[in-house]
Amino acid sequence: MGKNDHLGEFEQLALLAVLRLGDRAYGARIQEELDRTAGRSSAISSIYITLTRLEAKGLVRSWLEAPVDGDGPAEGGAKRRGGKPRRYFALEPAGIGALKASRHALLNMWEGVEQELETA
Amino acid sequence: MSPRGGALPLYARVVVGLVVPRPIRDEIEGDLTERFIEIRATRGVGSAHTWLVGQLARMRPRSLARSTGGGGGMGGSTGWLADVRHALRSVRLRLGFSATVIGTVAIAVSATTSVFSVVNGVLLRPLDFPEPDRLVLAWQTNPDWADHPSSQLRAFAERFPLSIPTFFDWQEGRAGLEAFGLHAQRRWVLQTADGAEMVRGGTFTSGVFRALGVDPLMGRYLAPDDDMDGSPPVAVLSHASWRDRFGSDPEVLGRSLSLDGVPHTVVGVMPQGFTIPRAEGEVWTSLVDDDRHDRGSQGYTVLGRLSDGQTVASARADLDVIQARLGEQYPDDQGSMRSNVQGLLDFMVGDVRATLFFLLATVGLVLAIACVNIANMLSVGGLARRREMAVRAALGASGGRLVRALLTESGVLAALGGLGGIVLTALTLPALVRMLPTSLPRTDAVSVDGAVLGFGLFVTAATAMLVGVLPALQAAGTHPRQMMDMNSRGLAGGRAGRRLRSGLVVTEVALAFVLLVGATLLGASYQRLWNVERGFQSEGLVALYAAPSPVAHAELPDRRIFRAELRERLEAIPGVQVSRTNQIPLSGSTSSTTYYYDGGDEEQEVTVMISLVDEHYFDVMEIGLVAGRGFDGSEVAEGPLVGIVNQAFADEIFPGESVLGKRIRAQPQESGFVPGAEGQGAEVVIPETTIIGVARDVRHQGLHVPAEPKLYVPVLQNHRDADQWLLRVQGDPSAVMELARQAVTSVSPSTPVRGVEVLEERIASSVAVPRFRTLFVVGLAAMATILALLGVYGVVTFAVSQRTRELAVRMAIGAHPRELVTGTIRAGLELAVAGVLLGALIAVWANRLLAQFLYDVDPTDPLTYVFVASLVGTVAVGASWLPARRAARVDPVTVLNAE
Repeated sequence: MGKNDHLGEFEQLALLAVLRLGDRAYGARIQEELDRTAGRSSAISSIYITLTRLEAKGLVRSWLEAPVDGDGPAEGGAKRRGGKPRRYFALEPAGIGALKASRHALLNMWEGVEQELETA
Repeated sequence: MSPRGGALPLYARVVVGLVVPRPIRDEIEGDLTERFIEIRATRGVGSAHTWLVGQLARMRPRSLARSTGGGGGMGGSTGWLADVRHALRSVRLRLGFSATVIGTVAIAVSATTSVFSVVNGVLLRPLDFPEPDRLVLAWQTNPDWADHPSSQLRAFAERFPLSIPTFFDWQEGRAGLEAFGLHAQRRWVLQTADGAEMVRGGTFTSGVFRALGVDPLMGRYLAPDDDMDGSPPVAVLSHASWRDRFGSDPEVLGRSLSLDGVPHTVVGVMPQGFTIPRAEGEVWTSLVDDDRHDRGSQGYTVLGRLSDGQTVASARADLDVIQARLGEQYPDDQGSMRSNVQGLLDFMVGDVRATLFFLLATVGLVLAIACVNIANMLSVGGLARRREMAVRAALGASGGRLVRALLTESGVLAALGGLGGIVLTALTLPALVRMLPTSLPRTDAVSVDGAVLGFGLFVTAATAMLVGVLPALQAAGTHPRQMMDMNSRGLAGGRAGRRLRSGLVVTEVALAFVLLVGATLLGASYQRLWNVERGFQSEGLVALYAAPSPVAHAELPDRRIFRAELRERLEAIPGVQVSRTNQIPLSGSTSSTTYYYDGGDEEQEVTVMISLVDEHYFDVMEIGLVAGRGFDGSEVAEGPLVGIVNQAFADEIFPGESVLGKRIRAQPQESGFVPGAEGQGAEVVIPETTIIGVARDVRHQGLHVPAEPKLYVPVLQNHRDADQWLLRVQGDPSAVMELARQAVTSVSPSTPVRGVEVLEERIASSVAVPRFRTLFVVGLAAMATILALLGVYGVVTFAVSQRTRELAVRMAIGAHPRELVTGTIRAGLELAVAGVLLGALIAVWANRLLAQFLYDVDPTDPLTYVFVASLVGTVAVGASWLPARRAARVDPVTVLNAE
């Protein structure tokens, strides 16, 4: 990876959401996941902007799936999204590598300071 | 706006459509929809919309566009959006200029759309009945009258009312009509708790209601049994009548109404908004008529509904077959009669169709002038921005790209103007409708509906195209280097641009000239119509109709007493002269009858108009007598019959000899039939009448209709009612009108007074349509002239500003300022002359359309053309005057130093 491949914070969150959602990772679910787990009310357009940028860097891949009638409500069937297709995202190996590197860097940085933060 | 099923609210779809690039638009819309529905289900509608608006606000269109693979030039929608944004910015930057353009478009679009909304409401919108296209009216015709010298019989030739027996014959043999019935307009005296009132409505057979196909709100409408001879009179009420007279009483059915003293049982109430075309009013009754068996008493029109698959022509053919049979059966009065069928809407609006389409065409002309003016403004406005264009071109914008940008700009201006115009239309339409002549039918149907909106949008789009294309192409055809050179007259400053703008102004002047000629012709025509020799002095006359109530004055002697007492009371009003007649000239009612006289070897026949008048009539009306004497009050029923004829009678019937002492008689085998006013075809039996005087001709049927042979007979020598009173008033008529009303009430409280009116006003309303047409076109012509003036001013001013350096040099080498002034004015005049020549060509062609609206005016009247041409010339000189003075004040030193 080159020098520009450090992930920004929102990039990390978005990649983690894709990872956590597995084969259900598309815009609406990612937005909900960020809202619920990270407490972030993010804009769907920001998710797309971020993930397409990461796709251009080879960290994720995406594909369209036409809506299928009769999907259960949990999946959000065709009728529940106006018949529009979904764009699914999945991590590429490079994306997993980038997340690992980020986590590593962050953990290193956190080491030894967590206590200070709690007593502050 | 609430989404059903899986749809995103409309506002969000619009925003997404505008800002999200196409490659990822669908999935984003899908995600938004999905989340919106989830949030709505868990947190409520309010939260869902709040969330959605937040999402839309954070769309970041540029980043989205970049992320889908490109810079500024990607997806068509954002490119287009960028143009719109840019256009809006430049509208803001040149606020004064933009406001002028937008204002001009708004006024032009609003004027056009307003006139269209009238055309739409009156002519185009279907009648408010089920399958209104199948509703028709039918009459008898009499081809023998088509060329009759009497204008009234000529009018009857194509539409002659039916008698009740003829109708029942039609009904027996009917074909082609699913349902049809007779109807005639009526007025009755309605007895009310506090006296009497005149109510309007009509009498019908049941078929009319079936044909109209509208169910009653309560009770029933007329049934076939009600048409039978001897069936008890019944009445159906309008919704308004039920509400106002009966307080919406739910028990109204079965109650009794006294109409002209005859009790009618209320059997039904029609729903709100229902009215019967040509018999508007509040009460519709069954046939209650003594002339039920009189084949000669013809006062009814047929209203029917075509059977499925039938046409107006096929129904007419069917009725003609019946008529041919009737002709054999009753050769005396049905001999040559045939039938006529016409679509109801067609009949209702037939008279005004030409006027309305003419007005639409005229307003379209003004719109065209406005477009030309705006194109010119944009062309000049484009010059001020040639640097900007040059920079954009130099940075690599293609010609097509610049054209698109400029087109978007004119489109944005036109759209804003058009929007303003449509709003303006909605705001001003009620005022326009109030200004329409009351004789115009269906004005209550005039409103801004889908068709009007569509028309407004169409006009706006057409405007955008018209005004945008020329300036845009002009900019595209110019080389960037030429544009950058501020001193060159490159771009539109060059010869081609000058020619283009001059051409536009010439067009504008030409169109304005056409309108001005039209307005002048119409104005002259109206002037002549209004000032035509009427033959009587209409100023200072008050008309009043007071027929003795048929309840209180059932017998003839009672009516005589009523009239004598009323005359006494009216004459007691100070400064008032009183006369009584059966019909007042220029008030819409006429009757005629046929007389016979000895001419040469055999008996000759003549159809004359007839008026019943008292002995004061000629004095009160100020109608001069040409020969003989007037009536003096000695003409009683028992005495010898006398009459006074008009000049036209004397000239046409007895040319070259004295008419005094001549005797005329009604047909010896008089059938009793007189083609009188509809609904009261009346008998006038005057066996032999001696002519004792000749009066001047009076216009009776309309200001535009020349006098026809006419006979005046004394009221006492005729059994017909004559209850039109004429009062000649000194000074203010309104006080007299109130006193006259009181006089009637004091004589008979149960006699309603109708039509108390200043006669001059009634005559004015008879020419309301030509007056409206004239005022309208004059107004539009004024608007067109102002636009053309602005156009000439703009072009000349611009030419002067472009030639400042040249003018300065000429001044420096000794030119006199006066030469520069005349030179500039000449430039303006040249435009005007070219415009006038072109306009004259168009006007000669276009004003043929005008001929049908002109009275006593030649549409190619050369004087009018010369007058309008000199007017346009004066305006052009005026418009060039200011820039000319500026040219003369050029200071050579300042200008040349600045170089």
